[in-house]
Amino acid sequence: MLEIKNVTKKFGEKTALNGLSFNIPTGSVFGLIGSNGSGKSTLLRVISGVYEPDGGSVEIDGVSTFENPEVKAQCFFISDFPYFYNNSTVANLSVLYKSMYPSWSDDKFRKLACMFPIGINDRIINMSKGMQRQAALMLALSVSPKYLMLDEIFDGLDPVVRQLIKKLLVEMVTENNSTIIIASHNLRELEDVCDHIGLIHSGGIVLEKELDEAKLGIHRVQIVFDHDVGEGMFSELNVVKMQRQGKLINLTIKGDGEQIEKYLRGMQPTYMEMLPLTLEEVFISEMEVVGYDIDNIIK
Amino acid sequence: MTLTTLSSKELKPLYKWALKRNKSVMIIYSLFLLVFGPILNMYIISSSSSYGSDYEELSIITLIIYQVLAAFFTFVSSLKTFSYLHNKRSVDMFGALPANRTTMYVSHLLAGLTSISGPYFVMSILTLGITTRTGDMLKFGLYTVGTTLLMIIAAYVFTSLIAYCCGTVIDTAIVTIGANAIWVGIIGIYYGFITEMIPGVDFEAIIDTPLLVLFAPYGFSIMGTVYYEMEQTGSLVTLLIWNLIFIAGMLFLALLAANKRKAETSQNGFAVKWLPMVIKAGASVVCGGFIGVIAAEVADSGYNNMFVFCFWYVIIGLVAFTILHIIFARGFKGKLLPSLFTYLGTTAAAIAVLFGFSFGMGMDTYVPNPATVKSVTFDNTEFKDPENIKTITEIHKVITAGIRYENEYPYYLGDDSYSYDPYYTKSYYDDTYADDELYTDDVYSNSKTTTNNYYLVNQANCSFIYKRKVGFGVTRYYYMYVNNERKNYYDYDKMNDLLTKLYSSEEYKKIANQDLFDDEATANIVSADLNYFYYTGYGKTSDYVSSGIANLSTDETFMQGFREALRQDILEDPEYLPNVRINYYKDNYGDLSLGLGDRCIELQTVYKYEKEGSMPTFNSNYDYSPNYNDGTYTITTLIKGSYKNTYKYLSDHQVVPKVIDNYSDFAFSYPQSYYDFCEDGRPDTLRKLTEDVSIEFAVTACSTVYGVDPNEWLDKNYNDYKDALLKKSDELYKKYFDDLETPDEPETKYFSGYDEYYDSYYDEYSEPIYTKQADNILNELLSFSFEYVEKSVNKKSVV
Repeated sequence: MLEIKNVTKKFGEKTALNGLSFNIPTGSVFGLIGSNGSGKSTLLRVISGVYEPDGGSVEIDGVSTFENPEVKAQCFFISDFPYFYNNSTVANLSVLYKSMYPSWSDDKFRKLACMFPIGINDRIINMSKGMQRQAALMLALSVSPKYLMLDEIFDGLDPVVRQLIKKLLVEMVTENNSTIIIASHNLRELEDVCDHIGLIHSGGIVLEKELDEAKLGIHRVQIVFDHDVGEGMFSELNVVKMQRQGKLINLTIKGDGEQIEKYLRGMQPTYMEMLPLTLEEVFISEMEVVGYDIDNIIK
Repeated sequence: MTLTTLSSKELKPLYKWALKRNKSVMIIYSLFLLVFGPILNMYIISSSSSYGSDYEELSIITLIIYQVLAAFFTFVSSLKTFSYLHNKRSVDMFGALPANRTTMYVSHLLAGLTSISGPYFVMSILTLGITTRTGDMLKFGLYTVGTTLLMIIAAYVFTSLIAYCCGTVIDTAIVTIGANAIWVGIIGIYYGFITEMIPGVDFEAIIDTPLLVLFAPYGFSIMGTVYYEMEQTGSLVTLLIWNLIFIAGMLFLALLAANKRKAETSQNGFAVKWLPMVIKAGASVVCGGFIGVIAAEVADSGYNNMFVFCFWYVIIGLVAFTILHIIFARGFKGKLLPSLFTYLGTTAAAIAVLFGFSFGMGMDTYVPNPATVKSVTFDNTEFKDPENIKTITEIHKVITAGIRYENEYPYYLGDDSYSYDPYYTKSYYDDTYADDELYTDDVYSNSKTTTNNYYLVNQANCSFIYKRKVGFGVTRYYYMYVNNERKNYYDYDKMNDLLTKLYSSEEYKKIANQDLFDDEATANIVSADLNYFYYTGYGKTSDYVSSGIANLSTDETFMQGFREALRQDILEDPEYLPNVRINYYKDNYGDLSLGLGDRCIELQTVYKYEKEGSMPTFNSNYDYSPNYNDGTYTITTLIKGSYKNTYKYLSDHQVVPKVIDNYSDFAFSYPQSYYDFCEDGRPDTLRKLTEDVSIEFAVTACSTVYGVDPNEWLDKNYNDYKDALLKKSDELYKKYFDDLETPDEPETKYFSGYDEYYDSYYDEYSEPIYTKQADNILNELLSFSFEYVEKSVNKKSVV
């Protein structure tokens, strides 16, 4: 269990994380989503022990990660821009990581080296952005960490490699019971691989749930009435958003799906359909709740 | 740094990784060392036929080049090693690795040190192996290697600390260079101020302590070499101890910084917020002070110099402050105006302190209490006798008493009124032969014929270097010379008495004749010769003439007796003269001044070195001449006419007749030499010259021919002799010149010729036209003088 306990991180006057608290269950793939500058990368750095929190703590199995080599040996962090020295190659970095991480597996490294289309003796700095990420992932997966933190890992990867990586991540979770935390704006990819999501905004947690639960807790309804309907008619529902297109009304409603359907059907609509929400729609809906929507930005 | 860190399993891989990162710097550095060390030395040695000391010079030069290279590459390597702190992406990578921050720091530090000290050590030892031929050189070499290694550690740790305090590589570089330069600059400027404004305080005193490089670790080894070369063992030890303390202190702070530094500082300002402010303030003090001093010197407008200084100090200081502010803030986005309050505060404080120096701060009149002094080096001679220490403090007080009186007080920058420049006078002293070191007329100080009876130490430079029984020493240098104006300010009579007392002390006599008083040195004597010597001075020229008149036996029994007699005479001499060149100017004959007091017998003793490297070092208290070709050195000792024991010993051993014989031959060939001074061949001039030569001849004859103390002879006979001589001279002058016309300017003849001595042709040569007449006059005057002396002493010469 990875516990984030009341974590605060400030950069000068700016508060990047503001008393953040939630848990990430072991063996989960946790998608960390949020607006730009919400604190996702900062949180990953705090979890990885790169940043020292100004308040609170991040604990793995009850032990703080910061300045704790034993705990950090179970973690691996790939930042949004992985760093490589000029002369770094996958091969010479493997020597470093092998000696630093007790869980390093040569077999796995060899297998991954055959799997990824990159030369392990090539200078990483000369590789494309996507290949650099693949190099970083090769090394990370060879470590087989208990906790893998990935920041915008899908950026610059082609669809095939994305599929490959998702497959490898799922395998890792299955085989090692590893916990993976992925911060990304690519919600489509997260939706495929994550079983938990956490939505943060302005340094605070907005939502932290299992993905399915998150999706089930919010619903999009298309509904048509043959009579005029005022906005006040839906006041008993937790309507997040309502849009009219002629007689067609699009509603985004939070709450229990069955109760919402029963309530709406009781209003005798001429047409009604409840549609599933994508993660992106969930994100937008939730962000609208906290005032982060396009209308507000335009204003 | 704890043992836990050193034994942690993460240390080794991180160390190896950091070392790998430094590989490029290490290779370039090694190539430089290889080229400037072994390769260059082997090339020079293989193409040179010389052997020995040349190699050692080569080795010294190489080791000094190595120090510079070590400092430069330490700087580059340390920036590179700790650059991982200054890039957000690398901070992510290293921060996430399973190692604590202490381990991360120590591994990088050790790797960096290895990359610089490893190649340095190997190449230095290789170079020493190629070039070293003597134990001394090996000692110097190993010492230099040791201090340079310490410098590398100190500088590396220092730069690592700065790296942890800064967010970017460029800031680290600026702050590192700035901190070193600012410290040296501030100390230099303040000492420059003190030296320039406060009489007596020595600029070189700064070199005697590690203060100049206290927080400038990149200068440690260079300063150490300076101390070694200057044989300042105390300073050397202090510097080495400070070096170790500095390393320990900086390491402690660096570990603290490593554990406190926030990772997000990377590429983002400074981890220590006040650091840029300190650098900006320091730079303003140094730049403003430096330009201010130059402007004040150039302006040369008396007390207004101080205002010129302040004006430029404020302007240039502000410019330096602003430029650094823009660099650190990457533009004007930083809060320049609020930070200017720091500038104003620093400037006000610095100017206040600098103005304070105008009042001397008590340093201009300070003389240590003799009870607290362990020894004092006065005029390059170290005195330990409490009585002498007291005498020297009294001499010092005579000087300080006149200081404020003579110089305009309060002092001001660029005040040239007292021509006080100890740095110059010290250099002057070091580069000048003994002629200028002691200045006295005192051979016949009791004689009525003398007028200016003043000793002057170093002629222009007078130094006091006090070592305390406990605590810091005191060093003062003064620019001293006698002129009528200065006599109004300084009590030269008192100073003369004190100097006479000091130089007549047993301690000084033994210092000034250390080989003579060393029984064991008798066995090392190769030869001992007696010379007649005198100073001649005509117009502005002076010259030293010496001629051998007897070779003494080096038989040990004879020599021991002779030396014992001479020691006794020296110890009993109530007005002992330091045996350096003695100048004396006699006013009686107007502008014609011949050295009346400078004729003596001198003893030239040639010693062989006891062993290689035992050549005595230069000492201004005795006339010393080393001969590196045959492994000997010569010490010259004056034998004054009053040294009865010595003359008796020589007489008892049949040496005096030999002296007289040789002297007589020499004396009567003397007229030939005076042509050299006959640049102006007018009869009047020639007359004065011949008279002066005759007086000198007569006085010389007293001591060298008849063994009579010239002082006594002059006391009894000078006035009568002078009257007789002038009367005789009148006769001769009329006899040889009355029938000649006396032109205003003498006719001269010019011709070309070949000078065999210089192996060159000369174009023209002028010869006085009256030399024939002058020859006759001189010969007759010399005969007259010789007979006069003979009659007056009632002795018969053997001539």
